Amino acid sequence: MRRQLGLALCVSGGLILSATGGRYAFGAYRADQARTAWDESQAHSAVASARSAALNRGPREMLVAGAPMAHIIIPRIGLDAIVLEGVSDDELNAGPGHLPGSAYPGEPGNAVISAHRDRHFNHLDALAIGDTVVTESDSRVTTWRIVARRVIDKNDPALFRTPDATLTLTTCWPIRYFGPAPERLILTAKPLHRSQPQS
Amino acid sequence: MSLKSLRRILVAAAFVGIPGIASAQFTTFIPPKNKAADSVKAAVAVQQQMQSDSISHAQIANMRTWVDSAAGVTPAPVTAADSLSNGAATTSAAAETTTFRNGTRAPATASDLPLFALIGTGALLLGTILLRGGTPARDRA
Repeated sequence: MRRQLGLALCVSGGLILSATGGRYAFGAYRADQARTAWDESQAHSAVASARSAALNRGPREMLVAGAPMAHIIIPRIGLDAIVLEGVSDDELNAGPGHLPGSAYPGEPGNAVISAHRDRHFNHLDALAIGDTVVTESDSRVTTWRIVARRVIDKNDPALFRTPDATLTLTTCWPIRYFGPAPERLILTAKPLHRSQPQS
Repeated sequence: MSLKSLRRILVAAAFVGIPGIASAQFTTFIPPKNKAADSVKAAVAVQQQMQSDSISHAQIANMRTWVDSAAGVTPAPVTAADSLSNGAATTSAAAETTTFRNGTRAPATASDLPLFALIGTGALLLGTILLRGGTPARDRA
């Protein structure tokens, strides 16, 4: 009986670990694909200039979910990732997600980027006010400075429109919590320096 | 590896790992560095947003925002700037945030994978201990 129970536990534990590891591995694969797609899109200067022209002339086309839309670098925690459009499970498994409907990083308005605390934002708690974040979107590179940091309940209103360019980074809190975390860590950043889009 | 040494390793790992993990299970609150200044900035942002919309301009007389600002309370979400988002600002607790609206909650970034990894590892270790412990003594000798 004891041996059978041990065998059952080993098998079920192995299956759970395999499923978990597979999910992480698939996310890493998707992140790699997104980086390749991002690099290719950046290499095509004609495409970049066309996007910039579209940006200056009229309303932006909505990106499809899962499309790479920005590059984010946070030197303090060694993060260098491609941001995908959307915040559903699939996007957040592969990389930080841009909340659809929020502004694009560097444009006027609140740009919201979220990620899981056990993956890309697993060291977000190490960021403090004054740390810098760099985003690249539509050939526009923006350096941000973190100006606010707060922890709120997961059901509290957290994201608001802003008239000026704002970057909001969100993840679950506490970072090392097992299970569905009850709170959210919200970091707000304001632009320090912005490069003009390439024409 | 004998059962005794395996148990010693598990106990040592528990002593090293459990305090840090356990402490993380208690939720904490990080107070804003300068709550008063933040609330003033938020109130100014609210004012600018309201002034940009002629329809909501009349609501600038709403003193609640200013009182909350003076008291260091984050202003309530302003939905008047966008008539379409009036009803969407207060989302139900069950709905997940998938698009940006003024006053919406943060996206659901909670992940169950760490919990599954812990359960899987625990089950595997417990199963291994039971299997090894269940081996007759004469087989181990």
